[in-house]
Amino acid sequence: MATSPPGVGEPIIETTGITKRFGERVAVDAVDLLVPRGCAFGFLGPNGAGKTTLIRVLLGLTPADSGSMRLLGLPLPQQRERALARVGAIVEEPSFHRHLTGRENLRLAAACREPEAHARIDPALEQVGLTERAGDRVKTYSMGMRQRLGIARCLLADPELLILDEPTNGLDPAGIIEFRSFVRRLVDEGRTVFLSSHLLDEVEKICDRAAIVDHGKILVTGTVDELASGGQPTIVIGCDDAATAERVLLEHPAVRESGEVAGGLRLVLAAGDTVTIADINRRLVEAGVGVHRIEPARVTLEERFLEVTSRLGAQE
Amino acid sequence: MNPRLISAETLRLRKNRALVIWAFILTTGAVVALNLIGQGFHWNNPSQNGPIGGVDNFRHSLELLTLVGGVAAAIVGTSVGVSDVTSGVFRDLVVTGKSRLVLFASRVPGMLLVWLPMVLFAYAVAIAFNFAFAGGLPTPTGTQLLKDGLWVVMVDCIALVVAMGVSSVIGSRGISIGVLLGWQLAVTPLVLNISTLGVTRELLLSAATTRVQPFTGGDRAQIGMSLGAAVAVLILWLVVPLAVGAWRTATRDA
Repeated sequence: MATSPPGVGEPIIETTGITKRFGERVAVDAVDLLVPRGCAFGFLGPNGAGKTTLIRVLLGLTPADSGSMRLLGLPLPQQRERALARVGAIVEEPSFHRHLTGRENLRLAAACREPEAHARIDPALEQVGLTERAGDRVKTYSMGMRQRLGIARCLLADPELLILDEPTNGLDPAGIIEFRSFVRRLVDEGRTVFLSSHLLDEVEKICDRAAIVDHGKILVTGTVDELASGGQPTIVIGCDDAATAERVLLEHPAVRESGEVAGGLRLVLAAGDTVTIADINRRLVEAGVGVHRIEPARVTLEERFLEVTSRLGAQE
Repeated sequence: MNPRLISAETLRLRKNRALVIWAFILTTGAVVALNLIGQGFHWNNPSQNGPIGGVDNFRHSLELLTLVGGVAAAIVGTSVGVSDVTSGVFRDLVVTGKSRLVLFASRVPGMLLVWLPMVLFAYAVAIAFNFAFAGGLPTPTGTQLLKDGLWVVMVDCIALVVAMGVSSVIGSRGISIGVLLGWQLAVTPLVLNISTLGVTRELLLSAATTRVQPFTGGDRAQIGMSLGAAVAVLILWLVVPLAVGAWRTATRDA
């Protein structure tokens, strides 16, 4: 990988108050975002949340209305050319001249990069498994092959940062699994991958860190584990009489919600409350309920995502 | 100028087989058809139709090369002007950080490197027919051929640049071709014939190219204008479409 430009140690993406409007509609609303170097960062949000718009602003495809940003430690748009020289990006879906072959399309892209980019064409094609089809016209490629060719085009920059917008669109299951390991390989090489997606599973499996975005605002950010565990504490109780257990525990002031699950009960507790497992167990035993197990529930990123995005919807 | 970008532009154009074939048909093909049909008439009835070759008949090939060649220029120029945008590749080129103006500027020499050989080949074919079918008539001198060639190249290259610039602004190839052909084939001849418009007609590209044509006569309407004014108008038609196209390329959402 190429030598890092000035700013090593700083976040690889840093935005402060970035706002982008389309008429009256605010697509990106005063976004402050820090993406550390050397990780896979998921930018997670429902369709229309503003993910692609922020990416387009970062890449200079459309200007921001206000705010400031730095890419690879370099201020944008002042040093855009220098910053983007080490960035590979796919926005929405990769586009190509369909009458040209895969290799010829990469030659066109390499012409926009430093002279060394031409020497990276064959290794990039090999890395994405397209060497054998490189001489075929792109119009004969499947969607998955075009995605891979798009990634090969990103690699021509020897990128420190890859920005991939919904990168698994059009990939079959095998292609998605292959893509995950490919991203991890890139991160292991010391590169940063910024991946926007509305697919929670994808982000949870690929990324180290993530931000959840909706209505143009970043709602939460952190490691994937932090995000998943950042909601209200939840426990699962295995018992022989879920109805009685629910009746008994709903009287407890710390219990916010309850619901029966297979073989027991799931409880959502008030955040920060010091309810002990022993206290719950004691109440159940006193009520004559046989308890098999009590354990913290693993909250998935999906649940966390739905929790924060619906909360925003409720505020409005 | 970045030679790698220029080379990439020529690669993109010359690999577009349909575009190259149609451009060839509308330049060389048109010249061949004109001369063969004209000579066919001569062979069929020599007493009524003279040979198609010779210096006096050469202007037919030249006018055809600039008229139908102008159509070819519109097809090629609009392809250069919009194909990056319509294919979506423009966005992928912009994210490399390369200046949009540099990307735009590299298109001009890139397309000329593909276009000029086509025009020159068609012109060479026109010369060959003119000499081959002269039938004893005097043929053009070297100086005449040079002047005629420069004029054909100039007219077709301006048409190409205008097409590229206009389509860069419009962003749609179909609409651009319609606008260009409508302007050149319908509006311009009409306006040239409205004498009440006076000197404003001198601003038309056709008025200027006709003023500097190296032969007399011809089928195009002519208005009296000075050589200086004609040169100024030609420069204007080169610069304005390029400037507007460059501005639009630099400012459009990619």
